[in-house]
Amino acid sequence: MAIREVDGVTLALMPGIMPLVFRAGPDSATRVRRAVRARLDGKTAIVDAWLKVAYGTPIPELVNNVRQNVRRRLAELAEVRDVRVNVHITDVMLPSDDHAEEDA
Amino acid sequence: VTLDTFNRVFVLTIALLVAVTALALLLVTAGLVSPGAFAGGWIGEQLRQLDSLHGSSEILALALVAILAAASTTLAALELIAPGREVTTVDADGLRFAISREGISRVVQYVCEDVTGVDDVQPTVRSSGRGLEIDCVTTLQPRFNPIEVSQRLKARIESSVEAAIGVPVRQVTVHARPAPAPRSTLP
Repeated sequence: MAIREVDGVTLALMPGIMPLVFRAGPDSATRVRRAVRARLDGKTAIVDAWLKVAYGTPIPELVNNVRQNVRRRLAELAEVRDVRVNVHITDVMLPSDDHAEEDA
Repeated sequence: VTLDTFNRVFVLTIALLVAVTALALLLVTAGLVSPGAFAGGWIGEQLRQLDSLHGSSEILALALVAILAAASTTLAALELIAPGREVTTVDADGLRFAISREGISRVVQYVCEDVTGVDDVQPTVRSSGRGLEIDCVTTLQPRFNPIEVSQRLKARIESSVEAAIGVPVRQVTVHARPAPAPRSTLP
């Protein structure tokens, strides 16, 4: 949810076997499990997110927004203060992709 | 497809199990090993049933195919075939930001679309410690000056990719080639 609040971001598939394991079901929880991995290292929460971004928004700014949102949400919901968010951009969605989808 | 550590270990373990099983079948069918000799009792009886596989060409072929598949999977999992698909930057706080080379290539192609005199661009993206190195094999329209077009292309890639991706572009190399001449329709 924290990631989806950022404009121009779509969840993507993390690499490896796990996305294939969770491929059944198009519900939002399944999509999140295929795109986001979180683990605890001591008191530090480490979040890895695989995302597609829309062309146009500077990616560094977008990555910062994702990090801030994830940190804020985790602090509110789980009172986790020490959060490291690693962002992996798997693809950039171009305006021409939208036209191609519309044509199809 | 790239694999993280957990998935890579998982795939390697499965590939190892397949390879060991296939190797055992290979030795049995070739008559080099007699499984019944390994143990006595109930287990020995079960293993002795495998002795009947001796000389089976189908099992031999299956074992060879399984060994090849396991070896290919191992190579892929170790990323010997497709190393480093991402350009990764680490900031001062140790946070990672990675973007796929494919994503950068698509951005390069997109920003080059409206450069006058360019028909097609096929970029290859590499990363060095100081930024991106982009090689572009470019098809140019014949009526334009290749040097001028290449300079426009370089300037466009440097400014647009840096602004969009946030990673400095260290070098852009343009390999220009003319567009193929249109086929004559005259008889």
